[in-house]
Amino acid sequence: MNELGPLLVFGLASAAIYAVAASGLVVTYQTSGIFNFAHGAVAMWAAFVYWQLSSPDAWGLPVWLALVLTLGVFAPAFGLLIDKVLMRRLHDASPITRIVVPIGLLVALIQLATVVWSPAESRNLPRFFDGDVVRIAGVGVDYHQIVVFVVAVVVAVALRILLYRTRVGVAMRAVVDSRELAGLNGVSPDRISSLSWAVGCTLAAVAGVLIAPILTLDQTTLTLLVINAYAAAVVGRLRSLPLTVLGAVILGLLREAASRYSTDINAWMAPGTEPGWVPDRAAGLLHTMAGWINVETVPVIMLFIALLVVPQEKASLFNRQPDRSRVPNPSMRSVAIASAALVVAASIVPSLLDGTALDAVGYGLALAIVALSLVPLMGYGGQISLAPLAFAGIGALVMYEWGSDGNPFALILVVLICGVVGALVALPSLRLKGLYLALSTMAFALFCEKAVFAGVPVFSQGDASYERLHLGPVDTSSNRANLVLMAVVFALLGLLVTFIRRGPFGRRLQAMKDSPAACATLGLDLTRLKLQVFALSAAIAGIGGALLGGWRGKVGTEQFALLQGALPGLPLVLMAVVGGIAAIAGVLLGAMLYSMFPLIGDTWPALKNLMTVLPGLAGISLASNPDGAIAQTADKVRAVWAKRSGASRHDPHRNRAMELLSPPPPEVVPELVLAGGGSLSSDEREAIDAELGLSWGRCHADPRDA
Amino acid sequence: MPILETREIAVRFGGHLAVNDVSLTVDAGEITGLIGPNGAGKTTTFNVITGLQPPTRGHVLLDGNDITGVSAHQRARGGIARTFQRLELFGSLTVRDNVLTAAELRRETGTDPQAATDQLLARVGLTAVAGQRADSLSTGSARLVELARALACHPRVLLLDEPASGLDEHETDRFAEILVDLTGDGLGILLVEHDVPLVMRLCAQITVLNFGEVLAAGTPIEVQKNPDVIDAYLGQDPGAPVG
Repeated sequence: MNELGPLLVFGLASAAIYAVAASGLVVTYQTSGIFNFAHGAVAMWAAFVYWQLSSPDAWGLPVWLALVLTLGVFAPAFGLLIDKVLMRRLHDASPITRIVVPIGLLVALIQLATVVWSPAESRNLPRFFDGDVVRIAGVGVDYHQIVVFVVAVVVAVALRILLYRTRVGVAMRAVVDSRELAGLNGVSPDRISSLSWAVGCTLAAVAGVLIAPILTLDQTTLTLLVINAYAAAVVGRLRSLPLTVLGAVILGLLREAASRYSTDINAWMAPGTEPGWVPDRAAGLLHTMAGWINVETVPVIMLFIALLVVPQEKASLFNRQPDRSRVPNPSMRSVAIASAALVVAASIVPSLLDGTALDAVGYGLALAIVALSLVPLMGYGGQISLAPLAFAGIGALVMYEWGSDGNPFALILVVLICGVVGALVALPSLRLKGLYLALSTMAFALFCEKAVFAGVPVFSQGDASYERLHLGPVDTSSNRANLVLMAVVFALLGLLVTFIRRGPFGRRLQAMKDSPAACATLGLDLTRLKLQVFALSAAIAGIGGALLGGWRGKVGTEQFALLQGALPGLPLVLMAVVGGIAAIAGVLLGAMLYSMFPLIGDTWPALKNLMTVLPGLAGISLASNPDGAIAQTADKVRAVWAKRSGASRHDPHRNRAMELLSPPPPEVVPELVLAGGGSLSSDEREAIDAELGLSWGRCHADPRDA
Repeated sequence: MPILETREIAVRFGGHLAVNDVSLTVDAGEITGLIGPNGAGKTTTFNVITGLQPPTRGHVLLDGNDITGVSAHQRARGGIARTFQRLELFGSLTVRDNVLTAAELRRETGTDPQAATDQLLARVGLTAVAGQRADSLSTGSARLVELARALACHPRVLLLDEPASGLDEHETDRFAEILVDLTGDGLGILLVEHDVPLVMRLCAQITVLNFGEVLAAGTPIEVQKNPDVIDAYLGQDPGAPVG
């Protein structure tokens, strides 16, 4: 009983903060259909703004005024801004863009915050009422915790009244049901959307201001802590506020219990304490798994369990927003030529560069292999993973444990382990909406960071080293040989991915992205296909990680974390998408830029801040250019080319939705076959089409005459 | 015994009963029509038969075997194929790859999916646009791609959801020929179509749906004379196209 009191009091106090944060997430998701991955970053920004306004070390305004400015002005204005500039554009975007752009915002906000408030400096926010303590039921509770609790109750009641008792609330719920229908009934969906983003960001800010005094003021820590609230929101199925609050209470209590009993939990099945009937090996495994349970992993484990247990929104088989992104289809020959060029370049680069510049090139190449893992998965299959670097980390960890002498057979182990883990991670959310795949892979990345990597002290300290691969007579220990090796591996995997793209498996992946319903009715087992591509992707990422460790000499959690200051994991995913997620050259470009930005910043200090925020900004830019840089550049080149040759090209990407709404006028002649024509040039065909009013391609030469 | 049969299937969306006690049969080598006003429950019935929509109650039988709990892809492997009223093409693939994907999935031993694809494209008249991206086609051609893709699965029952909408008169005639031709191979077809003259011309049996319920069922002549059908769907001039 002595233990239960503090557990309840402190558990409920942190539950209160999660409830506020998670409610904000649910409100915006429900009214806009966009899951605000940047919710935690908004909370973090509010905490920093509040510090800037109120701290005696900064502007030193009175606390009440700082609170009014942060929660009453900054947060709602920020919500309005991101709605207007960003989120409103996403209504008709493809599912991947709808997820990637908010992640771009998350990364940009973290990166911008590190520029504005240098992480090197330590900052603290005082608790409300100076942390004075009052005794409740024999437990010493400080006033800050009471404030937190009262605020949570007020927020819950206010939200309930807003949504169910006011005209605005009814309108908000109407927009959820049908944006178009609500619009026809005199509700302005845009205004309602703005309002919900303002409310959502204010709730994030409240959570940020309340939680920051309990922790240190650090960009990543604060952001990730609010990410914990995802688990509570998932318990509420991203729609029910009461269930979300229940989820927050469970989360608060579990975290508190984990912080109190983690020593006992971690010692479970420790060698010498296990019961005799448990085989040694099983006891060892259970002991390792028990070691994974701590305050930081509980929200992630809870998120996984909630995804498994609480019924969530299933993936719609019918694609209401068809993904109109392009999937390049290069020939094996052109990829082989480009690959050869890459290998030649890799053999020359060490003669031209050395030191940090050479290191950045090798690092970029290793990361390009990791990013390549996303091409079949995201680019072809339209499935989202936010954890490629986590799988890479597992690859490096496997090499450290079993291939430290550079034994190439350890790579086979890397492929097998990463493949199996990849399939297991995807399993719980395969039938769910793409958003849940994003959430579960993100949770997995955090789990790796806080549990699996943390469980190997050398790895968590960044000191894990293993020898570069020994490939029989070929010595890859020199920088040049190792760089060439990585280029060869990238080239081979690039050819494999191209081969897949051009074969049945690649066609199925694209078919799945375009129309799951049609796939199912053609006899395609979607679950199996998704598992296969997840396993393939994780295995490729694992190889990249294994090579990255070899190149760097020493690696650890820092290289493979979900977020590490302004970089690792999430920014890499963004840069891969920005380069062009369906193109091998695109992800190579993205990964190289990712690795070069810090180097450019170090070389030219005037550009340092810009280089820090570029990955996030680039991610946000996807709202207006979802195809990525390579595709955009190719478009421009094609446009210039077309202008030069004077041909007006048919646009293969015209709006199909509009076409369905207004069927094209009947054609004069449905199909025109020119007898005796032999072959027609495309210009000739276009000219005849235009003359007869045919749609492109309906006129062709009679094949019998060819 | 019919190849395909639905027994009293019902689908409830919230408080709305979209389909109620719909029973119908499709025989091998025959075209069965399923007509009715928009919102009558035709597409929902298709979704139930193909496994995309679990019914609230009732059963679906293929060759007399209850397949109500069987997944969509297994039903497809059992021989049910369909097209969609709201097109579900693989837009980023070429026309040829759309059909080839299906041919590869339901590959029969000893057949070459590439050759089968080319043959099908020629049969529906799409050879000229085979290399184009599917989402660049006109609606009429896109419907033909869906037909070719469904046929590539070697179905025994084919469900066509408004396949003639977007086709002009010439294309419709050609399309009708293809359908008749297909039944000659023993294929059973369930046809949803608003082009009433076409339905009357092609179908051996017709089921009329209205507000989710079967309003009438019988031969084209019986259905055309049924006063309820005239009242609810056909109007006074049964020859005029509706929809």
